Amino acid sequence: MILLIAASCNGKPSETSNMDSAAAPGNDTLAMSKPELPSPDVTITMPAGFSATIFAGGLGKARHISVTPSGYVYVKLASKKNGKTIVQLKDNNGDGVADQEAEFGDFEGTGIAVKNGYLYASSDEEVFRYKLNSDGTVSNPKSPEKIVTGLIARNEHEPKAIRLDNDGNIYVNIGAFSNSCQIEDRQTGSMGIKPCPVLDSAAGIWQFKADKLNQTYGDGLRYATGLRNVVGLDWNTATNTLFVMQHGRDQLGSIFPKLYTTKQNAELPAECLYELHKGDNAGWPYIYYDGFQNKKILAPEYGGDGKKTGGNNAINPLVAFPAHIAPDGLLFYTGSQFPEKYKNGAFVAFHGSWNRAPEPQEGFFVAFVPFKNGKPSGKWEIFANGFGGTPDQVASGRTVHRPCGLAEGPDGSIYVTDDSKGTVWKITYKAP
Amino acid sequence: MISNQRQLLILFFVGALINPALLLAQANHCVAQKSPLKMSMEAGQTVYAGLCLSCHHADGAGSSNLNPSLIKTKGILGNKRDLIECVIKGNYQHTETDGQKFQNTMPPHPELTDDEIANVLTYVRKSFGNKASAVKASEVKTVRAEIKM
Repeated sequence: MILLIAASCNGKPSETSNMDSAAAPGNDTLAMSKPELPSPDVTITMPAGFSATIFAGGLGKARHISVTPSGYVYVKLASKKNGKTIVQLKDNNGDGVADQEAEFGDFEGTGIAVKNGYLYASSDEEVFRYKLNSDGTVSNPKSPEKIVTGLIARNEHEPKAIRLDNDGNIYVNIGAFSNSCQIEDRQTGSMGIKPCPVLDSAAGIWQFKADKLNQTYGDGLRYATGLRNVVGLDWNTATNTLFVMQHGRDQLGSIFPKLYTTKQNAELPAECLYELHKGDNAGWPYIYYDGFQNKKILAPEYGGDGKKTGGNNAINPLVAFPAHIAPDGLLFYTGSQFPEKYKNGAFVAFHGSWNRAPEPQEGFFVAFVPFKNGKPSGKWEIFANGFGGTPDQVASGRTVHRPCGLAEGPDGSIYVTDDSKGTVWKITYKAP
Repeated sequence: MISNQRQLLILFFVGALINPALLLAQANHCVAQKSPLKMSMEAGQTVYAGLCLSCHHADGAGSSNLNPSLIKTKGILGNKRDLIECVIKGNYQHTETDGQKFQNTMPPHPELTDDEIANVLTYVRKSFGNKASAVKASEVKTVRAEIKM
């Protein structure tokens, strides 16, 4: 069922329906449709009182997600749906399920963020923004402003995740176009280039102005470096700082088979949560963080042997998660719907591993890290699990879903996207 | 049925009485005569486990967006020359595979012998549901010589 809503020049829909608030004023109109609602195909397990319901589905490669204060949900796609790459969803009748869907945007990508009356969204090379109407709809779906352009995307770690602070800045991840800065990427025995040339233009977080058009490297600031690849990041309003989840390095075992077993490869290089300040260096490619020794270990490409430490000037992570499980979403919870324990804590969506083979693959869940006074206050835990399907599906990596993006809605519910089938879950809490 | 089995047993014993060495010889024959293809597949599986499995996985299906599947793709079933070249030279251009681009680098493996490349490609072309012809060491040798030119 497709409904085309015509909008008049004064911004008020010319057609009255229960969907009229979604009509975009001006010349741009969005074709509305009924969201696809797949039947549950996995069982999501969570602590008592929480439930996960399917909010929308069939979106394809649904990456990051952001929600306006009025409840419009925007999902960035890395593939096209109906020829478009941003999905707008709305639950008008308040039953916890989207009843209205529209698509717009021509650039595939990962990043999306609602901030100060704008919707920011990224391709793998550029960042755009759309002006939002007061109701949360997009005023110019066909003509976004280009904020940042010319960013490097060279096959590996291309997605540009974005977040904004409260001082008019936007932070953009530029992932390393390399695994470990070897002379020959991922080749057995190839040593690291020193100094690593990737760090000039990638492997870090760049800061740009949120309202200046057509910025590129020269206009921005390399805010933090030595970060191999960040997909999950969030601005923590409690600390007023940027937090990021780094994807640790791959293939210790296949590149240096004499130094590392396949099991060590599967387990050693942690996925790390960092708090960033301007000028920080997390140490890639010269070190990786060993979550068992709790040390910054010199990378074998730079003379390491699994024991020698390195990175004296590199910051330490706040949390070291298991290797390779691919943190793609980070969200600091500011709502009041969930129990007190969750307030200001961090949710992390793990996309799931591929580089643990022949060991079983892991991840495919949403984790939670409790925070107090801006620091982790306890051990991380698995919050929502089961997205992958059966234990066999998880172990083989042939999972049903792969969690990617996280967002908080105005009612304190959280949303989880999946970029395998494009399902969006809404997680709510009711005291048991 | 029973009488048939009896007849066979009798024949067997008669044969063994006539020439007891024959049985032993036949047993040895079975071990020694493992087919060249089977040996190539086994050797190829060992190479695969050491070098390929971490990215392409035990089931050959790779990992979406990152490492290509080796199951019934044109690159695997098609032109052997290109496939051999890909193993020797790697794929730093991230060339599309069956219309899909993959983000990770295929590292080069010039260190593998002609036999090892032939074996691993034979294993891949005849595993995971693939049913393509074997790759010979002589074919690898030819491609390696061409690449060097």
